[in-house]
Amino acid sequence: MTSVSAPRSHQGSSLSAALLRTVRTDRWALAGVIAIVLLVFVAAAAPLLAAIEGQDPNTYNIGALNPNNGLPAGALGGISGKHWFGVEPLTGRDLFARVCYGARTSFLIGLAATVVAVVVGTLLGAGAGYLGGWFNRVITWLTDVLLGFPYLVFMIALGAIAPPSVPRPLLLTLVIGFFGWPSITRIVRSQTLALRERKFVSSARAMGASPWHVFRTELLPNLWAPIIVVATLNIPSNIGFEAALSFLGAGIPPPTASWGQSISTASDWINSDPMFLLFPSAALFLATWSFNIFGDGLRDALDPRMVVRR
Amino acid sequence: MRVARFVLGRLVAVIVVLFVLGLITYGVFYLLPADPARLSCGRPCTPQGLATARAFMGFDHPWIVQYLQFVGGIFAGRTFGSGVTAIHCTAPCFGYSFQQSQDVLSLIVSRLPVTFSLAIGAAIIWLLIGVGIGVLSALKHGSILDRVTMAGAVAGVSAPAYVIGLLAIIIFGLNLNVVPDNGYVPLTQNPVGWLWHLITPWLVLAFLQAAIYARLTRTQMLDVLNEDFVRTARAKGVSERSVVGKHALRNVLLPVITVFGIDLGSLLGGAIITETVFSMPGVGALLIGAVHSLDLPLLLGCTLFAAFLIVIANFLVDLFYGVLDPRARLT
Amino acid sequence: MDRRGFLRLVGVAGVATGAGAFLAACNANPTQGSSGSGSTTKAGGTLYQLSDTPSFHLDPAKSQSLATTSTGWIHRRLTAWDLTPGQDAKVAADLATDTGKSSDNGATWTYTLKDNLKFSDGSPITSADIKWGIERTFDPAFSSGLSYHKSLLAGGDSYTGPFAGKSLDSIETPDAKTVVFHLVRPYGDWPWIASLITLSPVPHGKGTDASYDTSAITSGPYQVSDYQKSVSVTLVRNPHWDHTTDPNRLALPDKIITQLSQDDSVISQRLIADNGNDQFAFGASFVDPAQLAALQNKPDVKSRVVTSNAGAIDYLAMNCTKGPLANPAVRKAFQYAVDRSAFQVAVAGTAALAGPFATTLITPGIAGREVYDLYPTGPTGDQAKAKQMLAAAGYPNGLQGLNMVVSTENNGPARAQALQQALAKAGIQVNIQSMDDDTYQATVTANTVSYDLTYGGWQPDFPSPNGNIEPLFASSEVGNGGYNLSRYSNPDVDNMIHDAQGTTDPTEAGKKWAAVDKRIMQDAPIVPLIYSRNSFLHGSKVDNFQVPDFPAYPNYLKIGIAQ
Repeated sequence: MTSVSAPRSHQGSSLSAALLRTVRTDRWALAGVIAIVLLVFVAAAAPLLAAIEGQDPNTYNIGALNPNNGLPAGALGGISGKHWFGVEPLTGRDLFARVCYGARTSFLIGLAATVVAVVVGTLLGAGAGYLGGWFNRVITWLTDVLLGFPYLVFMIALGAIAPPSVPRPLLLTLVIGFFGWPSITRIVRSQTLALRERKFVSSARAMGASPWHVFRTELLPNLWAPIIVVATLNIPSNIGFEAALSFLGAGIPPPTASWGQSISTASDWINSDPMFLLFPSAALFLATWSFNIFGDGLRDALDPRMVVRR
Repeated sequence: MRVARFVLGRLVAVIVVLFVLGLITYGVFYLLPADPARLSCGRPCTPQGLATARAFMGFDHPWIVQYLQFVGGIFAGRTFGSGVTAIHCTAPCFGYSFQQSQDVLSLIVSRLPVTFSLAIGAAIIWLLIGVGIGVLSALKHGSILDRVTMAGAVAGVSAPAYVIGLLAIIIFGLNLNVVPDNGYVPLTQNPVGWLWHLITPWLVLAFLQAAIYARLTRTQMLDVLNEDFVRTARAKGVSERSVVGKHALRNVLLPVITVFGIDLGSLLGGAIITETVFSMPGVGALLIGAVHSLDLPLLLGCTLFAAFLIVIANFLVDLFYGVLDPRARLT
Repeated sequence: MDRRGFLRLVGVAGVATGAGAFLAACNANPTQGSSGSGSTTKAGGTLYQLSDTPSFHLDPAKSQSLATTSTGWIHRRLTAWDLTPGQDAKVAADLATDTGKSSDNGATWTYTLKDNLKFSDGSPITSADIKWGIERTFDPAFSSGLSYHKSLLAGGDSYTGPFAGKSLDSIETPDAKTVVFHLVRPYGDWPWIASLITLSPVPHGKGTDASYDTSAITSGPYQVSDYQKSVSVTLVRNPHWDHTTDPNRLALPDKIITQLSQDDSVISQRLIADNGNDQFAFGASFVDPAQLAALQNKPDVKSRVVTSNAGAIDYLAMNCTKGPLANPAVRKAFQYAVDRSAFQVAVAGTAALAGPFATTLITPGIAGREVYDLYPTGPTGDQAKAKQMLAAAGYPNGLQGLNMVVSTENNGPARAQALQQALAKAGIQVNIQSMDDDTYQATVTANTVSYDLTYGGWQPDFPSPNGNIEPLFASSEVGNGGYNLSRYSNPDVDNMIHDAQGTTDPTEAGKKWAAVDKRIMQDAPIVPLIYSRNSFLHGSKVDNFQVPDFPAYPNYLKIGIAQ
């Protein structure tokens, strides 16, 4: 890990400046931002959008199906003025409404899990980097092991262990967030290690400031940039995780719309109704892509030399 | 001496980590509402039948005792039941799968050729493609090539593996019919068939990973090209080829190898999604099957095996680092 | 087959059946099956079975398979199933000369073995081997098969197998050809129990260890030539099998190769493509609704799909021990609240493919079934009426927060959602909790449960009304791994079940079972939804592929290769 190039203490304003600079100079990042804004709007306005279309994500429309086989009636998966993205086979539920509502699930869980991961990851990473010693070694080991661990398996198990009284969105958020911290811890730890040797940190320490005080006043303001970058890059993987869990049947319970669940169902229908797969996977791809491309741009703008592993 | 102490210390740590991971795995899955003995009880199941099955399988003790029995079995072997029908699992016994009527270790070993073929083949492809693209991209920093390949890499990183895998099967396997749609043929049985069955999974896995490596290599390369020693070399008039080949690349490869070691380690423990999508009987498929059928001993064995490979990979990477970079402290 | 595969195979609770039948107009006689090339079927060729399960239990004690599927190729029992499309299933003689002579009011059953019966190792099949095979099933090392016989044979409750030198005295073998069973009570269905795979003979003293599961000595027309775990099982002809003693097995193919651990969708794709050896193959699992929908426009493939005429009962179970559902008046409201039509579409795309509406607990194809409908309503139900009934039962604001558990297997969540949306219209708000199939099975069969509703499907293990009713509604089947999912417990019904089980005359027993059926539905512990049709796909050279009314699975014993 290389160090941060210049001492940047208390740089709140430069962060937003970097953001603006990124968007202005990097066309890909701009495209990412536009896509994110668009998707956030879709998620926030899902009920409104569905109402404009005149549909609802959970209502069965058996009439919109071909009575001979249960496939959507009409060409292209039943796309029509009534159903903009067509309908689901076997249920006739409106796909446009489901994709819009699915954005809510993806963003809610993706963002909330990122917050959990960032909080845990920052605390552990900064603690490991600043305190050093055995704590550092344990955390380093844990991150190394967890990063490659088949934790998808554990996510499935935890979903089955938790009693039904625990709301599934909360559970998913916590589980995905919990397994997301190692990548953040790694970055934060290496950045903290570098910062620790800097004058303003070591002088604060010499003056007898408590670790928590140093963390809050000296470390955190200098860690924001890498945290923002790594968090941005964490969001798409969390969205992907939610989708993967739903794909494996361990995600958000039905009938709540979820892209992963739609993709899972649609993969069975790939031959007879390919349009069904198109919209939810395009939405999922757009969401992960936009955060990835924006995160990349942000990273380049904040520090072209900063290394982000994974 | 220093190296010996380092190796020894790491080995102890490996054992501790595996023990704790196993404990957590066993604890978590033991909490599941499922009763593994129920599967051996037959149908209809009676309370007596259930109790007999539980005692036979060793599930009639508290979970911590069961776990310790499992650990003991690694060193001393285990016997389930008594008399002529007793099932013996010789040391090192990593548990016995009652559902598959086989000890866990030989189940895993029987799956290794598949997983290793898949992982190593894909790793070679993605390493070559990923590093190659990354280096090129960094050298032509800002060019159209750079932008296009990096956009492609972001797309690769963003694409869900299961969708790519399914699409590959549908397009190449079924519609074009150029490669087999699934399955595996052992190398020893038919080398051509082996290659033919593996080519799609290799490419799918490599596509996703190559994207990550291209990004990583590019970032590293840009980083190194800005380093003083590279500038100095350039200023001295060392040829560009030599700058890149001798000076830059070596420094780029160090972090790439680190990530690669851990990636390969975790992949050798089973590529769950790829193996599932392509119906390949590897360790990942064994693991996910164990999760779905709540085969507790098998699950524990597979998880420990995967963790073991990751821990070993970390260990080797550290050793490797020590060799390549004498400055690295062996701690 | 392992337990998972088995559950899928026989459609046990939660594993609802995958698909349905074709429109009657397209296939005038769907139970007739289809023949690949139209040429006559002769012996010979290699048949391929494509299976999604990782194992194929050769050890009969460990098998829960149906009598007429893969294990039937290798093992014979005292009795067998006589399945003729369009007729109710009948019990037939197999190793024995008849289906059993009862005495002692039906508590003692006597069988005589046919002459010249031999195992695949050339040794003769004697009464001692029958006894040994059954005794083995009591040993905990081999106890995972069907266990209906264990609580019926006198002394079975405390018996733990023959390997420690103890024998089960309630199985008497007065000579090499006679077997006498002494039961704890009169049991009219013993001939059916004697037909179950688990009661196959094992050479006396053999089968002491787990390797028997991959190398069993067989009594049927085939023996094992190769078993590669999780990969394939190859069966070849058993030279010691004599077809004159066995009219139930046609034994047409020379060789049968089962490919294990295959992905379901890939099986379908391969069979649709019909290339190479796949022409001689058939799929062991159901064709899923997506594939069925895609097939509707491909007449060449459609002709290779065989759909059952009836099948397992799919039902919504209500937990009779919990909250508002403990009130029968509430459960009756549910009978009107469900939308069976939407359910059919969710199951298979169309009503005809999914299967007909269910009203009785005894399924079609089983002798004794009487058709009735206690809660008549239209295809989409009558949600307004359900609302009124709920109000009358004291729930004017409907029901909120009912927890419905469902297995992810076989599109379970999709089916549950079709029920959920209709119940919502009747003011019943349901939360779906979907889980892996094994977790689900364990959850619903546990001693204490927290669910209100669950969705199940049940294909009986043997074709007697007994097999429909006792496992799902006897109070002894609540918890402890039992499948009484609605936790229904009624001493009256228990007595009626006991009485019907003790009746040896099939006609008289049938009448009693029909009465039990109606009596249970008066309490409305479940909502019968449909009799789920199953569709199977086979290659173009596979012949004699018939699916009877019961079981709604192909009769493997008659499948052959078109020459």
